[in-house]
Amino acid sequence: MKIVVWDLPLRLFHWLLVVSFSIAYVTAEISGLWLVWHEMIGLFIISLILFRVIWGFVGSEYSRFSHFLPTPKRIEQYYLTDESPVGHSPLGALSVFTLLIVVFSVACLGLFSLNDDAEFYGPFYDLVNADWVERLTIWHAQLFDVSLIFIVLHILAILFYLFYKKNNLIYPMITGVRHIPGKFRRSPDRYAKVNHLLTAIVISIFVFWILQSGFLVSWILSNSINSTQEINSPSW
Amino acid sequence: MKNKILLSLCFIIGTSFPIISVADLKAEDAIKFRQSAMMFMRWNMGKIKKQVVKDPETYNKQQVIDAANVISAIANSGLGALFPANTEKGKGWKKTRVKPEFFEQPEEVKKRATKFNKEANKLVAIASSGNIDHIAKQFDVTLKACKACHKNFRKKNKKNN
Repeated sequence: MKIVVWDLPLRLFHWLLVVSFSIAYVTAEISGLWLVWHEMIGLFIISLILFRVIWGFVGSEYSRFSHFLPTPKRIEQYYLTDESPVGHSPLGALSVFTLLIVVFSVACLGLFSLNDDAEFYGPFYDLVNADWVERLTIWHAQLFDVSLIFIVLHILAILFYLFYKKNNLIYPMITGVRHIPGKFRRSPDRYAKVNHLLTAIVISIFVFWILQSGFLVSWILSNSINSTQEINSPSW
Repeated sequence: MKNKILLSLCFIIGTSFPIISVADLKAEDAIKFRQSAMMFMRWNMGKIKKQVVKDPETYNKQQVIDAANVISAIANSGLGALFPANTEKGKGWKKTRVKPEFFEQPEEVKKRATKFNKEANKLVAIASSGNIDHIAKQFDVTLKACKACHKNFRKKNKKNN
């Protein structure tokens, strides 16, 4: 039977993340003024993943973390019975959590990073000293490499399912629909609610705006004792 | 006695003088000079970036021209002399980030350095025009010329003080 396993916000999240991650990668490679876009996309990724996290609590059934958190009981059920879950398998769930955490961390490290090829730095650059900027910039680059490894594993797993297990996982991520063979235990008991969706979107946009406006940083700096007062440049 | 002292003084001065005058740039100084040059260019790049890209409402024509002039002046000051053969390793303000390849491929370095100088000079000319879009475009080209050299000849930044 046919069921909607991935709701529309979740699918949009997934493909927007694919697109924005790729843009972030390409703009960093080209460098120059494309880093303006790199920064913007980085903030977008942070808000996007924030949205996914909220959606993981208030979304429709299969989007919820509580539905696919790989607990020992679920792992046992998955590997000892031939009953396959409608949503993520335990390993798939682990992959989801890992990718979310790693990509989110890469983006957050970018907030502090400095690209001294182009005198470009993230919006939180002023919050830490030069030593830490150096360190966090290296982590930003290194964790990005780690994220590429996980993305390759993610794609390989999907290809393995597609060609070896004859199970197309890409199609449901586009249409949301999955065919479940035989009897189906239950229909999703929690549908996506519009007001939950709106709340999640509003919070994410708000966070994006906070990061983008530099409001938070100037507020923190104005409250710190060490803050250097903005002085008008002398004419000499 | 007095003569002897005078004579030995003359001898010391006479023999030490050539040593002082032919002494090459100290490796440590050379590294400090080039690191300072890069850092000072960074400050000026940052000013242009702020006024032309980040907050165009703060654009000040004269300041951008000044900044472009500084960058082009540093670029044309003969920076190559700050990379003597014995400085692929060593410490200036901090450990140098130059790669050994810099000294192994002088032709390639020259090509990229010349390209950067050309773009920096062009930036000065365009800064004088006061057209912010054109400045941004040339600024972008200049930044890429920076990166073209850094990519091959500068080590990735790592904790190395």
